Amino acid sequence: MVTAPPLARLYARFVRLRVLLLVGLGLALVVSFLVDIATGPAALPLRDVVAGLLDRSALPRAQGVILWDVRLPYAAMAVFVGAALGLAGAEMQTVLNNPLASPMTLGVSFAATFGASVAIVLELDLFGLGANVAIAGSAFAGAAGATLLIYALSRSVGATKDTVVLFGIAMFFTFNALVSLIQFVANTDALQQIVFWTMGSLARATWGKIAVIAAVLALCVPLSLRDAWALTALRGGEEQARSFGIPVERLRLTVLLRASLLAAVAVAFAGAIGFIGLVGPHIARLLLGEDHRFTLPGSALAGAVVLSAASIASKLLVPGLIVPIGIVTALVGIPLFMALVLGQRRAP
Amino acid sequence: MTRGLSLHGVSVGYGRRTVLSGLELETVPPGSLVAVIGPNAAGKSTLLKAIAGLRPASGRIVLDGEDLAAMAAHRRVRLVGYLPQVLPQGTSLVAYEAVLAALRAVRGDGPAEVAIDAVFDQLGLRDLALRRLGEMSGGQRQMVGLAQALVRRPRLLLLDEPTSALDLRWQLTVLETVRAIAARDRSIALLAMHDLNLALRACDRVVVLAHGRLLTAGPPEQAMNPDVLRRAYGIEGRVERCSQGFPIVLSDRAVPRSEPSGSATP
Amino acid sequence: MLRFLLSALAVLLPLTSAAAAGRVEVTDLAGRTVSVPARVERVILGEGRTVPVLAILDRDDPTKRVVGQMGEFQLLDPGTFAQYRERFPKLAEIQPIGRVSADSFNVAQAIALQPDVAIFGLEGHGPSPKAAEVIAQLEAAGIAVVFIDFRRDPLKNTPRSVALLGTVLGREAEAAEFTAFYEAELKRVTDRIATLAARPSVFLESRVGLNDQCCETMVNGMMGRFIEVAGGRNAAAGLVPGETGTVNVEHLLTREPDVYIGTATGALATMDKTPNRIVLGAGVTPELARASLERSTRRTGIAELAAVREKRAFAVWHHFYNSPFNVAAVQAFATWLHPESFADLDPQATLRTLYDRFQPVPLNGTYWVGLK
Repeated sequence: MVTAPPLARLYARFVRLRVLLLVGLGLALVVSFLVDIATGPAALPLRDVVAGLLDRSALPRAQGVILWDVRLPYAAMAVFVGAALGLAGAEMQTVLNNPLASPMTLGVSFAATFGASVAIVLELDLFGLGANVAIAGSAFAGAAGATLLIYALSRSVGATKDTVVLFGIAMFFTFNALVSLIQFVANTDALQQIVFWTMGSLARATWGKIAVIAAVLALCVPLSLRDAWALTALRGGEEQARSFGIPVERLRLTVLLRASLLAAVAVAFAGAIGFIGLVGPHIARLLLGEDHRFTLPGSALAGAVVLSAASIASKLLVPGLIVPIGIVTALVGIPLFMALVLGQRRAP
Repeated sequence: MTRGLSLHGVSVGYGRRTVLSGLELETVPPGSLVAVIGPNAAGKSTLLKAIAGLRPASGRIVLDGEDLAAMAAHRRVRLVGYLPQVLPQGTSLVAYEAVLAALRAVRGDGPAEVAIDAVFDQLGLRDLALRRLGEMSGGQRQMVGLAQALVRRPRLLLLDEPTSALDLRWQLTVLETVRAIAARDRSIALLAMHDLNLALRACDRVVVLAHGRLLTAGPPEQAMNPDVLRRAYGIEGRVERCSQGFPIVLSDRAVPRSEPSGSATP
Repeated sequence: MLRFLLSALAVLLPLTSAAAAGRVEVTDLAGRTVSVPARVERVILGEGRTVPVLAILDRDDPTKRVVGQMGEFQLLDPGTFAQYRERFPKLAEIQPIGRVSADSFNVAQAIALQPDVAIFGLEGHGPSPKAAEVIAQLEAAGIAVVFIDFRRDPLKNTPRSVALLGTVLGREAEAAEFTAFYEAELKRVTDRIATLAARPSVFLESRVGLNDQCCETMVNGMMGRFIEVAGGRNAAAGLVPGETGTVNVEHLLTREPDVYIGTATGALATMDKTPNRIVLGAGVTPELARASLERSTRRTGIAELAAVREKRAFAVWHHFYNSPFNVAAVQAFATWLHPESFADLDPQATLRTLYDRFQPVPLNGTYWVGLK
């Protein structure tokens, strides 16, 4: 008589597959990152890229600058901003039980853009640290403000997922309109800058900014993983989760705040980049299912891969020019999203 | 210590509105299946949620000698399993994960694999363990929900309309399973049910709620009679016996509105 | 007798009305044939920066005919604006008819001012020929609309625009004086360039320090055209299809330009708020200008350019892109690109002459600078 393998072992195998896929995503990210560094108008052969990464002085001066001061920050920014947006999107989608939730669709990105626009038009200068710090800080204030507004409104009316989504939509349109208003009254210089912000741009990458985003990610990822099981349970049904003793309302608000922090930091440094927070989690879910121990890091990785790929595309689309990254993510994100949606319908 | 469940002066409200008031229930012994029945909006779900701790309640809810209402949330969650009315969702969520999440959601529980293995076997869900919820039928999903509620081997199992969304075969399966578990674990199952006849047939006791009060409680033959039908449901009906001896409710006509169709106290 | 008188009247009357009407037909820079009044006393400007152009023709008071203007002058070129306002306080009180974009142009306000002529640019910060409804509404109200241009094809259109304005405002003599000087000075460059073979490559970075993204440039318009005329090759040619565009800084690093020129949008009044910009214009000393240029060349990527390290880096006042004095900038470019061949050319003197002869305010400030 053959005994059936214990369920635990079957599940362990199931989990191992997931881990492999996660590792696979990580590898894809590494590859994308390398291709990103190796891409650009200056033809740098891969050999030189690797040599230059290991030892900057191995390259002629101009090449060294291109690799280390131009391409590397740009590529690293893509990875970290993509990861932040992907993670934020995943948490928002789970906690609001809405596959269309993302920093963009909840208005948080636009609130950040509005903050940046105000700083640009008023030519703010916080503590004499210069316009850049003022703009980033203002963007952050905008995003945090929008989140707190949604938080406060939800608390007074009740934080069901529908009310939060509706508030988010209201935020989206409100801040979109406010940004347009500011564009209307701005002079050309300010206008040009604001337009760059609304289209998103990785070209402002500096190592200082990358350090900040990395730090925020290092803070938020462990916190998210701590909530992983609660979020997985939530995916099984809100009533069910409540019955397990999960404080659903409190979880929802904590997660939303964390997601908004991630989104705010991403927008503060890279402008409003859309679709990453929408598409990254979907890819992760397709590959890794709903166990949030995998889906959360998976969404961060997927977001990073997609933005890294978009960064490569932004350099290749029009030779010589860098197409603003927000345009690329929209052009690539929309068909990708449609493909995901249609593919899911056909799957058994 | 008396083992079993009893209610003492339990009242539950939504804001300023009181839904249930002054419920008194004599101790229900372990191993029993109790049906909570009554017309719509009588408060069946509300009562279950209150016992589960999902709604604030006044009064005492005593399980095996302890007052659930006064208990810390994390302890209560281990003693009381709750199956909501809504079926489990989550299209890509796999059955095993759903049950594992139920265990892991509240930290500090024992070895997961053993518990899950046992409950999957008990419910005959082995083959569905790695199937996605989105690919399951309603009945199968209900079984997964049951597994989620049972995985911590609760002393009290609360099921909110566990059969209302299922077809006949699954209705029987679920009820048989619950009975078997209650018997094996010497636990108590409280089922809020819409279907009168199913309740009367499957359960050892019925509790009738109407107009925010507990109208009557007891074994089906005693608790269900035309008077209760009139007062709780506002119908003229008969309680007869089927060929196997189970009580069957047959409704004849609705009671006209001018006649008093129910009073406040039993 | 009566019949004779009547037919005489029938012949004479149209003649008298024609004489009384007194209109002139001109062809503007958009190729439109426009009928303008013989005496123009009230004008509105599609760009406030047209006032210094009017100063060439109405040197005593360029604001005397202006009843309405768009508001970009003070915002974009505060240095020159301050100079003009000090001399002509009325400048600040002219009724604004919009801000900095064509969208903000207020047609109703414009018509209410009852101007004779509206002077617009082919492109820029005011209504362009594409604003068909605005033009139609103005013309229906009896306002003639003429287009000038100093930016789409600056070197060709500057003399044409000044001549056109001379005709419209009845100042043909002053206009002719200017165009003669302009064409002579331009010829000093173009004649000698024809003999030169080598063309150094030039990268022109537009609006340095506007945002931290590098590198905006001008190619087929504005100052992009100066490079060719001054005997250089635009390093961004072929990369940018239109007038302006943003080039990846990697391009600069791989095909090192021989000369780097940045345009300055910083002004004395606002330089503290915009420390990344190069400062040139009215009231700016050469030391201040050079310091700001130096600071801007320390940026990542730019600092590594051979042109910068070998001090072949310069800055030019941004508003030459839309000014009738652009010929001075062309001369400056020529001395930078071909220093030996143009050793005898003094663009500073040209600029001073332009101010002395054709402007009511003195040349006071630095309008270009080099690292050396």
